[in-house]
This record gives sequence, structure tokens and C-alpha cells, in this order.
Amino acid sequence: MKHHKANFGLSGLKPKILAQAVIVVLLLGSGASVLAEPGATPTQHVMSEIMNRQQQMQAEMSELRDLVERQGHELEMLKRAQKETYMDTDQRIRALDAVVRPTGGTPAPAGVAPVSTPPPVAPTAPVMQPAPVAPPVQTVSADDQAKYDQGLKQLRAGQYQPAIKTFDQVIKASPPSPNRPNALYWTGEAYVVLGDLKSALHAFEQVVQDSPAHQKAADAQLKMGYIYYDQKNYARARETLNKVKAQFPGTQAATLAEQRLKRMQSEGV
Amino acid sequence: MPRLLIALLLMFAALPARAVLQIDITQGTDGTLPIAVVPFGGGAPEDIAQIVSADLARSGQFNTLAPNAMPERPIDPQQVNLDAWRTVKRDYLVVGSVRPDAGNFALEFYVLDVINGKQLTAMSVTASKADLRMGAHRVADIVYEAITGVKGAFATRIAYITETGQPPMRRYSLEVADSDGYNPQSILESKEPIMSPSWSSDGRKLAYVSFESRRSSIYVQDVYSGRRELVASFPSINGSPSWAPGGGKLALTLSKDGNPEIYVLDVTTRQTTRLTNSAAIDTEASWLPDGSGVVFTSDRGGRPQTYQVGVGGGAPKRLTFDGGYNARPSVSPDGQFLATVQSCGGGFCIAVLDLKTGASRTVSKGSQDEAPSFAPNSAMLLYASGGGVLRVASVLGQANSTLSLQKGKVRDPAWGPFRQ
Repeated sequence: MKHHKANFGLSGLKPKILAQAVIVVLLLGSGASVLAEPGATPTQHVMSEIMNRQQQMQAEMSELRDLVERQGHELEMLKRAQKETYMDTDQRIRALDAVVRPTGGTPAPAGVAPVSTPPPVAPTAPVMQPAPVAPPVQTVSADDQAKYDQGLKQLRAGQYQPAIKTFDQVIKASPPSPNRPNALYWTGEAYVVLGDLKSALHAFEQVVQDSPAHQKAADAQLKMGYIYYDQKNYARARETLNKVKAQFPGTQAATLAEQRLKRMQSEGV
Repeated sequence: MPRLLIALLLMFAALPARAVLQIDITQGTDGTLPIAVVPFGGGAPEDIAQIVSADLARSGQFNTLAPNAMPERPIDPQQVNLDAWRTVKRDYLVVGSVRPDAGNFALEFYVLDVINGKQLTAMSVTASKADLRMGAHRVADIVYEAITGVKGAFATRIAYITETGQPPMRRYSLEVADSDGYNPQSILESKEPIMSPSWSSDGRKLAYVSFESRRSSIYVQDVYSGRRELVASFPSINGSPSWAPGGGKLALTLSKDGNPEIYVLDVTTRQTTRLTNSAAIDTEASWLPDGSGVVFTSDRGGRPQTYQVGVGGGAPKRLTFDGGYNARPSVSPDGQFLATVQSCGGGFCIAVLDLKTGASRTVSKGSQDEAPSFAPNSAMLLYASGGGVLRVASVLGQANSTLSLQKGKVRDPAWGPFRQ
């Protein structure tokens, strides 16, 4: 570290140190030695104050520049990703077209292999809006399903406490409801909104522990990582996010985990 | 193991003035090309095949075979039994011999495609006794190009700074050596620090910073004649010179007008043109290969990151976003990659950013790596590692090897251009 610092630029000084040195020189040049004395005149106090403010403003400007540059970069990356998504979707639609209309006798466009193309299902993104839940394969009692739907409805309406109560009935149902992991997940999300991170963690943890293979397990683990991050427990956050990447490769959750890890790296935490 | 150690010690004893290259390929050899370089026939004072083999391995694109694992020792294509080499899973084979040629040595060699049973190249390289190692590097270049289609960069030279002794006996030396660290020669010695050597694109001159007058100044020195010239000694900082492609101009860091900014100096007219203007520190300029501008380090965003600016000035564009610190930038001669010193795991390692795709990866383990410099073929990176040793990393492959020189701490390496 020391060695490297010595090589930043030629001066053998780190930028900050140099900047400070420059400021010290400026201060000396403007009679700063007098400023420190108790008998300094009011004008000198004002000058010292101006210097301080200027230093603060410069620091703030740097921060803002960093933010603007990062956002510009992210925007550029997003544009690129969007274009790629668009092209990918376009290709899938064309592939589907080729499957749906083989009767016309027109051959499938060259280079498009409908068989190998995955079906155009959007990955469930762990966002706040409750995603429509695919009909479960197991038989669900009508009552159970109604309860779960009611919970989602309450969640959508912003009635978080009632939603948690309703989901709790699904979670505690006996025999266990197939909707249990989903209900747990949304309970966690509701607690996040309410700011009760401890309860949220508990709910997400149960999803991961009880149904590690469920599609919500990846999302729940991602959310746990986010919560640890918010709690500034960076070691746990990193560990959890890395698990998401390792255990659920190729999922939206893994991508989001990767993004958060990158962000942590750039923040130096 | 003890026997190997003794052999190594004997080698040290026999070659006191030589650097010792030790290859330690730290990562897997997946995706590398299997090759065997058979010991050359005839007599030569150097083990040609060994030099060629070490060069190819260091590129990270080949995996080589030790002589004791070879099924036979042919010296020309007629003697080769292809099936024997297929058994030891070799795709390529190099055979050859050394022949005395009017006081010099002729290195005749053949590159064979074992799988298809085809001869790819038959060549002869002539070298004097003193130049025999460089001759072997030329053989490696030809083999590399015959197989990969990319020009080899082994018959090139590197420059670096060594630091020996403790104060008040500390000495700094600017050295020039072969690309594998052998044949080091000091071209300047000083009691005061020497820093940041930069090669001119014809490989004849080095620009560097010297503190010999107790403050920073920039000199240009002819590598062959030793003649040198003071080109910049402005008030305050004179640092980080970088030769423009084609020569004639240097990008450098000066603080004559206030705080450190990037300038371009015309070496003949001594005119300076200012490229950057910010309240932050701008330094460590390095040219884009087409000469249209430079990349440099700036902390205008709070922490050091890499930016790019055109020779006409204007608003710099930020290039690095991964990692909280990206300094000492260098663009590969083919313009595809940007190497920086990046903060990683509490230390610093070398990162390579693909400027086309935006993908970034680290090519060194850290934790005290610095000063990355690309080989002229853009396939390898030379850098200084913690404690002051030189290392070579493969840009495309996974190999990473140490050039351990026997003398003091080594830093600020710069890989020279192709030799003309």
C-alpha cells in the first residue's frame, strides 16, 4: 500500500495529501499563521471561513462528479442491455413464429433453431409488486388458495399488517400448504416495508431453509443479502450474495446479487 | 528435490551476472496449445530449445513438455515419428539444430502440425555468439506466429528501475534486459531516485524522471550511445513521461501552472500544450496507440480513476468504474485492452478491461502489484509485484510467471517495442 502510494504520480504524494499541501501553501501565503492566533482580526476569521467552505465545496463537487459519471455509465450499460434484450426477444418471437406457422411451407429462417430456444418466460424479478403466481402442481384446497389470494390483495393495497396476518394462516396451515414458501416470502417483503428487518430476515430464512429448491428461495436469499447490507453487516451480505450467485446461477437473483457485490466493491465495503 | 536445488545452485554459480528466470504457472493450463520443443542438435553455448520452450510457456497460450518426457529426440522432420508424439498428446512439435556459420550460429528449425502431419514452417535464424539468446527468442517469435497467427514479442527488450543498498549507500539504476529478464545492462546509475522509464516507438530512446539535481526533471537518453538530454525541468513537479507513437512528443505531468495537469511537450521545440484543467490531480498519462489522445489518472471524482482525453483537450471521458481505485493506466498496442492498477482485497492488483465489451478481469493476485506494461503484441503484460520483482501475466490465457532478477528491488517496468 505504502509503496504503491509512493508511485501515484511523480510527487510521491497521494492526491489528497497533495491537495492538502496545496491548501496549506495557499493558507501560508495568505497569512494563515496569523489566523491561528487568538487576536486574529474579524477579516481574517472571514477568510478562514471562506477557505473552509471552499474546501468543503470542492469535496462535494468531487462526490457529485463521481455520482454523475457513474450514472452516465450505468445509463450507457442499461441502454446496451436493453438493446440486447430487445434483440433477444425479437429472435425468440421469430423462432416461435417458425414453430407456429410451419404449415405455410416456408422454411424457418436460417440460423434459428426453435427447439433449442428456451420458452419466452420472463424470469420472476424479486420486486415489490406481488408477481402472479403460477398455478401450483399440487392440489390446493380452495380455502387455502383463497387465503393466499386475499393476502396478496391486501399486500397490493398496502395493508401490510393485515396481509402478514392472512399469510400467517397459510403458513401455519396443516397439512402444510403448497403456498407456504410464497406466503413466507411475501411476509418477508411486507416486514421490509414496515422496517422490521429482523422479522423480515426470519421469514426469508425460513423460505431458504424449508424450501431450498423453490423458485422463491433464490429471491429470499437475495433479499437477505440486501438486508445485511442495509444493516452494514457487509461480511454477511457478501457471503449471502455469493451464495445466491453460486446456488442459483443464471437467475435474475444471481444477476442482481452480482450487481450488489460490484457496488459493494466500488464502495469499498 | 535436493538434486534439483543443487543443479539450480550450480547454475547460479556459473552465471553470476545473469538474471534467473523461474516459471511458476500459477493457474490451470486449460485451453492451451500442447507443444514440444525438442532439444536442438549440433553444439551451441546456449540451450536454444529451453529458451524457446520457456518463452512459449510464459505466453500462457502453450503448454510445453519437459525433455525427459519426450518419446524421441529428432533434429529434423525426416526423423519424426508422429504417432509417438500423438501418444504424448502433442499437437505441435518444433525440431531443429544449430550449425556454425562463418563465425556465427545458424539456428535451423521446423514447426510441425502433429495432428495433420503437416510442416508449418522451415526457417533459419543467424545470430552471433553474443546474440544467441536473442536468436532463440526470434525462433520463439516465428513458432508463436506460425501457430497463433499473431506476431511474437519475445525478441524484444524491457526497461526497469532497480534499487539496491540502504541509505546512505542506496543506488538506483535504469536497466535494459531481454524480455525474459536475461542480459540486464545498466544504462544509468544514480544516488537519487530514477522513475517511470518510457520507450520511444523506434526502441532507441528512453524518457525517464531523475531526481539527480535533487528535484524532478525529465531526461531523454539514447539507449545505444548513452547520450542524454534534459527535456523538462519546470518549477515544481516534472513527472510520468510517455512517448507519443511515432516519437517527437512526450505526454507528461507538470504542476508549473498550479496543480498537477497533463501536458504534451514537443521534444524539439520544447513547446508545451496543456490537455487537462481541473482542481484535482491529473497524472500518469499514457498514449492511445493511434496517438489521438491519452489515458490518465485523475481523482476529480474523489478517488483515482482512469480518464481519456484527446490531444485537442476537451472534456475527459471516464473509462473505469469497477473497483474504487484505478491508476497507472496503459492501453494495449492493438487498442483493445486497458490495464490499470486496481484496488482489490485491501491491496492492489492488475486489472484488464476489454474496451469493446466492458468486461473486466484481474490478471494478478496482488497484493502489491503496480506499473502494468503491455508487450508490443498485446498478448502479455509486464508488471512489478510486491517486494519488487517483475512478473509477466498472459492477457488472454491464465499463466503468470516471475522474472526474478538477482539485484535488489525492481520496479517501474516498461516493455519495449518490436525490434526493427
